[in-house]
Amino acid sequence: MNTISSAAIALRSRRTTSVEITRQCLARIAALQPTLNAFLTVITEQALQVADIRDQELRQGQDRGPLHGIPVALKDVFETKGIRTTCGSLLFAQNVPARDSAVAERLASAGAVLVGKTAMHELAYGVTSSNPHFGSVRNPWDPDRVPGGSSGGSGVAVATGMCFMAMGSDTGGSIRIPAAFCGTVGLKPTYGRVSLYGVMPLDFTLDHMGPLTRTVRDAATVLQVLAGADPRDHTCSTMPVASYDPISANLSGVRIGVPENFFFEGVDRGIAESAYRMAAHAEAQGAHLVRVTVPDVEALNAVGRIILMVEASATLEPFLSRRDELGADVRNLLDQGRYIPATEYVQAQRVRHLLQQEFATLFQEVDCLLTPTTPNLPPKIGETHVNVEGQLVDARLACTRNVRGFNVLGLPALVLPAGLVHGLPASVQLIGPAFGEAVILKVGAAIEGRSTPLGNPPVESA
Amino acid sequence: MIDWELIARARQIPADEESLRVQIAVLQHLESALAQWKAKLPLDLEPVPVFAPILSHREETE
Repeated sequence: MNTISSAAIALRSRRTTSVEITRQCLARIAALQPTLNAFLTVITEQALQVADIRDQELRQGQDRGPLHGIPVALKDVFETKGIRTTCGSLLFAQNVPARDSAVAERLASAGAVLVGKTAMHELAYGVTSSNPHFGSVRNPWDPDRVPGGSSGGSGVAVATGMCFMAMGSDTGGSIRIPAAFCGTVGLKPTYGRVSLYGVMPLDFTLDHMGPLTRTVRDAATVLQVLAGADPRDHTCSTMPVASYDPISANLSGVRIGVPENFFFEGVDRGIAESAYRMAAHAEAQGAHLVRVTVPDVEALNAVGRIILMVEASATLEPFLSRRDELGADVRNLLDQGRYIPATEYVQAQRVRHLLQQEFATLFQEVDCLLTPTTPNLPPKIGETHVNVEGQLVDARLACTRNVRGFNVLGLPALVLPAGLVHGLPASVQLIGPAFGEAVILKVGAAIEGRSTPLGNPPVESA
Repeated sequence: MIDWELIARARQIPADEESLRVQIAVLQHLESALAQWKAKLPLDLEPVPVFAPILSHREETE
């Protein structure tokens, strides 16, 4: 019973209680925190109190829906009233918000039980979650390796059963990279699908919020709770919310684009083979595979890096004078953002619009795209470069290579496990058109579990 | 070509020589990657809400 859907059934059949499964999660956190460092704050007493209330509600016939009584965690960028929210930074080490983020509100209203705030890369500005102030988060498949980032703690927490779902934020891959490296599902919805209200920002036009879960169906369940308009966030969409429940595994009529250029180039052979196998599984379920040539993703990634560097430096400008409180990698990135002339930034935004149009044309030919999530397996902690098929590549650029562009485009992207390569998780990414979450969730649900099961990370039996 | 060193000096961006060299190499790469696409930008481009590009798409979708 490690998924939201199975726990929901068990809760309603009285085979377990919210208090019982919350205690199990808290015990798992206590046992593994010294090794993996997945949490910045754990709220044991508060979680058990809320769980007890949820149990009472169920006994009285008050059912808040599929997240009722389910233990969850939030990355430490989501404001939580009365609970410290650090953003993984010394700048906010003592920050105790007076309000809840929209995501925290919606999860609480849906009956979820918050167990704590997960660890992350400093200021959500990096892919390793090796945090100079709060310590390195470690990969449960190999504690000498990074879990990915910036939502590293969320990936670890879900992969090891510390909670059933953890929220992440994704500005250039920060949900999908840790999901890939930890062997979980990760969903970055369309820009504007989930409210940003009460989230500590990194980048005004690239930030996205979404869940990490153990199954695609669970990700759909969580998105159903989170999606929808929020007048407090002017970027939040008023588009009607679709039904995300992937009822049918039949992919008949679904056109899946498999890129011939860029996404499978310079990729670890084992990871590429895993992704192709997942495509074949989809085909076996009735999908039609279409070979496609994608627009200029090198340029798309360059646009993304320019926009991110400028907007992050602008967002954090009030704190740039407190240089000694910033880690070296984040400080360097914030400095780099200050070089870029306004003309380059505006032109990058205009090129973004052109590339968006080109991808919109592509999505007239296919319903979704399928790519490897990352070209590489998780780097070792401290490694600045990774070896991919004999090429030494900058680790940060490798990790973000296949994912960053979809933040620039604002398109929804789902990643899910695709088996093990050299004992570490491989992952596949599905990308849909704007507000096309339903189709990628449907395809993901149909192919998940078709690959060799990951099993549990070995750290669990340590 | 943008004179990145000049910008670094003008903006008094603190960085040691090694960091400066690495940063400028990155910026030169990004400038080069963008150059070809900048050339494609039409002079008569309709005004677009570049700071919220997905919002415009959303309105078209609705």
